[in-house]
Amino acid sequence: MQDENEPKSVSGRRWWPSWRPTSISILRNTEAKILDCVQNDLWARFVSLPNQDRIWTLTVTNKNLLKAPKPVAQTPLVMVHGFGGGVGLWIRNLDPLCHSRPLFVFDLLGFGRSSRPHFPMDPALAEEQSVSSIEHWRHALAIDRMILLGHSLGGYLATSYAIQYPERVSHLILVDPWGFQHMPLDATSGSAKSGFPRYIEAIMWFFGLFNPLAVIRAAGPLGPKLVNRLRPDFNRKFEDLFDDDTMTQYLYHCNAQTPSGEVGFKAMSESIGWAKRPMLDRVHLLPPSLPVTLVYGGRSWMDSATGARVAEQRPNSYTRTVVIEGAAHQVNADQPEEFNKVVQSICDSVD
Amino acid sequence: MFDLTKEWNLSFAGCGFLGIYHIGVASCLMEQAPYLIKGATKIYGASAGALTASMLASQAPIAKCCEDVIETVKEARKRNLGPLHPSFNLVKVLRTGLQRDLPANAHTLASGRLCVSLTRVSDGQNVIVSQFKSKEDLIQALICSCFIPIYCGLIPPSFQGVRYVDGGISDNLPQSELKNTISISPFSGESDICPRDTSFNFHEFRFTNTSIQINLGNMYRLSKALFPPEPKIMAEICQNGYKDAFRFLEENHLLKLQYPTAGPSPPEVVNTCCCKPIVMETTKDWMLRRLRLLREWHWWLDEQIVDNLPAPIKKVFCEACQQKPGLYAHVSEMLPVRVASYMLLPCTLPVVSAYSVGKRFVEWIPEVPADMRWLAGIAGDVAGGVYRQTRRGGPADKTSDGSLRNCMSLPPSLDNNSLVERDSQLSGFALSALDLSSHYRNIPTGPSSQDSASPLTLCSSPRQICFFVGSQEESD
Repeated sequence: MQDENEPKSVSGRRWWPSWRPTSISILRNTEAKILDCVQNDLWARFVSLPNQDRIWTLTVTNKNLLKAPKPVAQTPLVMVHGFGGGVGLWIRNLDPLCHSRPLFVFDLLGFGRSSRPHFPMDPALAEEQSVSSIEHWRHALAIDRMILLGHSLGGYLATSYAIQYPERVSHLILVDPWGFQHMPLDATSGSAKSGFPRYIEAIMWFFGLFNPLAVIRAAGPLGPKLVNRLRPDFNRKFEDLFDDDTMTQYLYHCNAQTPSGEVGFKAMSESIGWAKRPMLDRVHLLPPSLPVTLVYGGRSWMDSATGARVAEQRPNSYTRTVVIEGAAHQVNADQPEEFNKVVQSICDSVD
Repeated sequence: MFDLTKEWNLSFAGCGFLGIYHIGVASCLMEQAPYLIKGATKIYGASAGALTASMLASQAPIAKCCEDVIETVKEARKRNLGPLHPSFNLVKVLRTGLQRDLPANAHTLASGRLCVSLTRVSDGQNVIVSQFKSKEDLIQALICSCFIPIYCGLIPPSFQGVRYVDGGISDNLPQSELKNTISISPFSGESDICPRDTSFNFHEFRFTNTSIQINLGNMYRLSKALFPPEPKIMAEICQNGYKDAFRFLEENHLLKLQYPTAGPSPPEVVNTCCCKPIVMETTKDWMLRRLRLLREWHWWLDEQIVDNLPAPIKKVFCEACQQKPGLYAHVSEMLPVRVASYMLLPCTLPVVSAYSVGKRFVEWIPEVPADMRWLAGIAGDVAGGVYRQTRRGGPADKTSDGSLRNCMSLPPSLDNNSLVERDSQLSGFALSALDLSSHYRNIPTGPSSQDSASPLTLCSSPRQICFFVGSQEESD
């Protein structure tokens, strides 16, 4: 069941044809196709924040739970997606993880179907805007405490949220989190000691002027094909659910809209891929009583040794690192069974 | 966790001149975990990866292959425009190298185990071949797999009568999605053995199956894939391959150390290094050394770069970096001389081009009939297709579904005879029309003596098989 109150388009229709074959409604339809796979009770709606931003939110509840309600209301699980993603990427985790507790997933501010506001170019302010949107969202839904799970960029924001609002988080789960490490001083001379030719740096600098996914939007009508070509792995990860290119379509329509969250990400990152304000500097601000679990994919390039460094920063507190073998960066989609099992056991340990 | 109880495969990604990385990986596997190679059910490879795969499958000496790669790189770097210079003939260099270094029974060793990824010219589909009748046959398959159109030449080579180009265009890392396949790629990404850049960027793209993370290191590697770097950097890439493979073995607990001492290189290797004694240095060398601002005596190659590699390969690199034959090489490397040679390029290039085009033409003469027939066949196909389209208004889509239609450049509603006719055009003169149609019919009935002659029957991907079953039905 979907309860949508679609925002009225303010700008109205333009008379010229769009360069990019995308629109809010195509995104909605593609997402609906994905969410059709959910077996349990699904409630999808926009949650309005005080500043008029709207966060696209899914609540999944076990349909058997209603018949035999449990005496205690359990801490809900909230999952935050990564860069360029959306709620659809959790499709293989929604059903298994909603068995014992309510499950909330939402599109981050500036991504997916949520509002796409203007992000400031200052890294701290951009981060603050995302984090406060999560807090307002939580307030609007009247969630008292939650198990917060963040993937990739979502992991960065979830950590930042947990630092600011530790009383709201029962357990922090970080899945292949981005933005923990410092940029090494010699990062510009990664593999070869002799340094890179100038022209490569020039090319990178040139692309650095644009938003990370500008290529997809600039490709216009070729965009969907380009995404399909560049990320066929997304179709393969979900091939038992969809035998066509639904997933890459979804990714395309998520990211072909006006860039917003991307701008925020660009503000928070530097030199493609490093955080300007790395989390390792701040993880000690997490209260020692807050348990943290870091989940890494075995094949991912994210270095699972970061988990040990987080543990170092948090002496005398619960910090655990789990490596899921055979999973790449999209841990939840690559090895869903293993991932769900790990998350479920963490949830069970909470209540 | 990598499961040794089931069967496993290796898959080498195509990567142009970065193939030296595969050599490093292969040398590590051979040294530290030879059972991984011996026990592998299939060894897949595309482009440069296929060369290393063939070397592993046919048990060719690895140092020799390393030498060949270095030689090719040197050949490519010799001239101003690098590999784009008209007198650099990659196919010829490869063929000579393979002919020299593959053992005489390479095809028997490789058949069934070595799987070479190819792209069929007629429809752009990926084909994986693993049966080779002779050493020549094997070499031809490898050359097809390395043939980057335009970069290597204009007319694609043929393997067993069918025209193919670089396998990297359709599938650069065959079967990498299988869990029991160890995928090896010189680009950092999500392959099993690949460089780990210390970047936390999650932007990534796939180049026909190969996962490539977007970061400076990979951009650098991509730029080097077709325009090879100097031997020193090649040595570094090779060593990186060794280290990455070693790390993979370590992390997956696959190391079966014969040596009680842990560590990448057994101690005795250190002493057997390549270097010639210092007394061999001539006055001229000494002068040059002085001119180069007094570097240490092993200046041509930093020891650390090749430290981990096995001794024979180390030696190859040492020699490769050392060779600066005479004063001429040094003079021609000076900046003014190089600037002058670039400025003279507009004058010299036409002459050199004309010479090498002539040379290539002479070499091409034996293949002219086959190539001409192929070109004529294409022209005929195109014309026939246009004619049919106009007459029947596009009958091509009637009987076949999407995937089939992509596989066929010929409308399937034709009768049997014309299909066979066209196939014989495609296959050149190697197979008679009757032979070929009998191959098609043999496919579903399992292995027969004829099977080894046809590359088409050996495709391991289900999609390919489905296509051939389909085409057989339609030709009947």
